[in-house]
Amino acid sequence: MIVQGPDASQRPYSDVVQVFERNTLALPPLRAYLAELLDRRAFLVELARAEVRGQRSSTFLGELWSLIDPMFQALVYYLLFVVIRGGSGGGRATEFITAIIGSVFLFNYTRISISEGGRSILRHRGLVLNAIFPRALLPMAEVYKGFRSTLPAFAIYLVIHLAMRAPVTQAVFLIPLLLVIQTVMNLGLALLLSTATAYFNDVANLLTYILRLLTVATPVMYPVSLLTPALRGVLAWNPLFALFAAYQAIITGEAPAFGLILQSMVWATVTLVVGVWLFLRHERSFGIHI
Amino acid sequence: MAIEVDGVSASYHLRVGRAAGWWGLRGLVSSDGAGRREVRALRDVTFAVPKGTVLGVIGRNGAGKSTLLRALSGILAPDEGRIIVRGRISPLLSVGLGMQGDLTGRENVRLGALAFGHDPLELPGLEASIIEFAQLGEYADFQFRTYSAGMRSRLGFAVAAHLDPEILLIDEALTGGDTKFKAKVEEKMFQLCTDGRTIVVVTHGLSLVREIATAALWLHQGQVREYGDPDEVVSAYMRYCRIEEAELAAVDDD
Repeated sequence: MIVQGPDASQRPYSDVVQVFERNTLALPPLRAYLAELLDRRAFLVELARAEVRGQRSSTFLGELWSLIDPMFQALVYYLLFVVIRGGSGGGRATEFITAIIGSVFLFNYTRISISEGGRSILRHRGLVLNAIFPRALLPMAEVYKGFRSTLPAFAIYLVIHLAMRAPVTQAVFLIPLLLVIQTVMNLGLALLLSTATAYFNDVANLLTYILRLLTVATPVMYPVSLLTPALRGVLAWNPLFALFAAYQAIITGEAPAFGLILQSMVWATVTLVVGVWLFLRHERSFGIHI
Repeated sequence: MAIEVDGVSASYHLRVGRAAGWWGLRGLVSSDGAGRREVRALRDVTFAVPKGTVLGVIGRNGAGKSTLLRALSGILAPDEGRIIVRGRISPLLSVGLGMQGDLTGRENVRLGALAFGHDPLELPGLEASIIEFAQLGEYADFQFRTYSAGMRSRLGFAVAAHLDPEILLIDEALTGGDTKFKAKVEEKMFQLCTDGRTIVVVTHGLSLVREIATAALWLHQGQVREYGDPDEVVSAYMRYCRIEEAELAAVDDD
């Protein structure tokens, strides 16, 4: 069945040719995909920014909450670990409070990446079903959002750290490197989990428990030195363990063992590779499943 | 040819309520288990659209019209067959469906344009003309969920029409909006289709198809029932509607 078309010669068409066939789960050409992501980076930034504004716009204090939230969080941990536990003879806890507050803030970045990034495909169902763009922008935007919204907390932490006269050593120069490692890991987790939730909505419910488990299995609220070697061996299988052990060392004024940094690099790479592989293979099928 | 559709079948996976049997575990072990159902929305669809065509897609609700648009844009991968699209295709489909409720109309416009790959520097001008076309006024900075159905569809059409794709896909163009805006939409469509653009419009407005389409496609239960001259296809469709279910003649809303 062919329909005769009108004269289309006035309009030059670009030479874009797209072929759509059954999704064979093959990886798209990575270089082209990456170029397209870079091309649309403005979309990513705008999406993250608009979402933060959207979430805050219904509150009276608006943007101020990004400062108030971490302050309250710090206060709660101070009450819990210094006033309550410290009073019952936990002197080490008093020393350790800066490490707890700092680690909690750093963990927030990963928490947002997992909980928001992991739900990103489902939550943007409307966009996924009605607009064309590289889907990886959605989980990436959430990771970016996580970083942006954790920045004020880092500033607050700096003040707390200095006010508590916590130690500062040369190891602080490692923090940017650790943040890069954490970002790579967060991206991997967001890609992996958002693929899983697109296929099995149930995973979205599981995310809450995965996060709780990770909060306990990661040295956020306890010193690594407290763990028995056997327990450490088990927890080392948590991809976040080495990274947060390294953060903890730096915050408490020690130099992190090189092994910890290497370990977190390996975990971050593995997570990203698995996440990218899963996501890119399945993204063309998201429309069928969500 | 701008679009070639060759033997395309497409389906959705629907989760139908609570999975039965073994407390839902059966749905986990077999993909065709009780919890999921595959809905075949398109079955062996074949047609070709030359460049510069204005194609009106008609058919009853659930005939597969929206699925066809999703398949053409690459949002939904076909199960079988192949679609070849030549030219930059419009990135946004349904009127309003891709918009996000907690964001303002303006933010949604920006996101749509950026997703299409527009230069961020050109954004302010584009944004202004879209908002003006959609007659949003001060509502542009209100959250999208506060919009009326008419405002939603006005904004959706305005975005799709302003992104300047070579192949424009429009879903349910005339379901919302008042008479005045409908006239504006028709005028815009005339303007868009005079400059050699390929347009695929899904609509229940049969008179629109007769007036501006150069070809029409009638989908019935996921299959092509007729394809060709818009007058003939629309007449055949209207005959069918009258014969099969007299009350469905009301579909032609004009």
